[in-house]
Amino acid sequence: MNISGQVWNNVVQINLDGRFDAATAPSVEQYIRDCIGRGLTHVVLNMANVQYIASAGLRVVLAMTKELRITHRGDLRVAALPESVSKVFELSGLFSVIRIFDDVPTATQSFFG
Amino acid sequence: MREKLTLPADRNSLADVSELVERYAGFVHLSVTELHDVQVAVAEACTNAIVHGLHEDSSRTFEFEIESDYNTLTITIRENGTPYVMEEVAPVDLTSTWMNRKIGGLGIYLINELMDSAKFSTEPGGLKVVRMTKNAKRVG
Repeated sequence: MNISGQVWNNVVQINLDGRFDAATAPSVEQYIRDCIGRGLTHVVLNMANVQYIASAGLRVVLAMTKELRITHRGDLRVAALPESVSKVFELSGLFSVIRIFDDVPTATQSFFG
Repeated sequence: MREKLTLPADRNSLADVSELVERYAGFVHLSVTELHDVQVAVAEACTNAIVHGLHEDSSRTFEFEIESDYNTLTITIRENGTPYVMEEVAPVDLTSTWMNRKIGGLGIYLINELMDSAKFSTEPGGLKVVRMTKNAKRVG
């Protein structure tokens, strides 16, 4: 899993590239925690290049969303889900609890709406 | 075609099995979505073996077997770790609010949803076996 980030108007866009499973989920979690530590509490996860997501990845997405909302008055928003990733989010019932957008610009803009 | 790997109970083994699944999916002509379904199910089953069965003790191993015929991919995972009781797996929570939502139990649920068949069993002597299949659904 390659992880990179860029900040625009205090929103951090985190780009994930590869498999999001139990082997890689801890790195993603740590990356988000590092962002929070720098005061970046508006997070967009760009999933466009995620090959697949397993429950360990879903756990990180949900845990970080909860932490950002409850502790930091922030949010984690997910963008650009490939079909197979979207299918796992839907099966897991996460469409009703995570804010999901078709693309990164719309997800980023949603923090200013 | 058939291949069997003996892998350490280490999360890094997930990359090895994922790449092997991708290679065999080509023999069966699975679609990209079908391939990803199998990779998620395999990741869940192997994570269960590595984390819950063998407690990430990399001196211990599990067995991963993959077999393809014209239309079907069959995967079998065997490990001899902590006994596993299906009834003790937390029920899947798909409906509670974001504050109360938990991810527990999702692994087995996803395996059952994403594969065409999945069977969980324990052999005499305690060897746990997960056997699952995916059929290529060709169009036309």
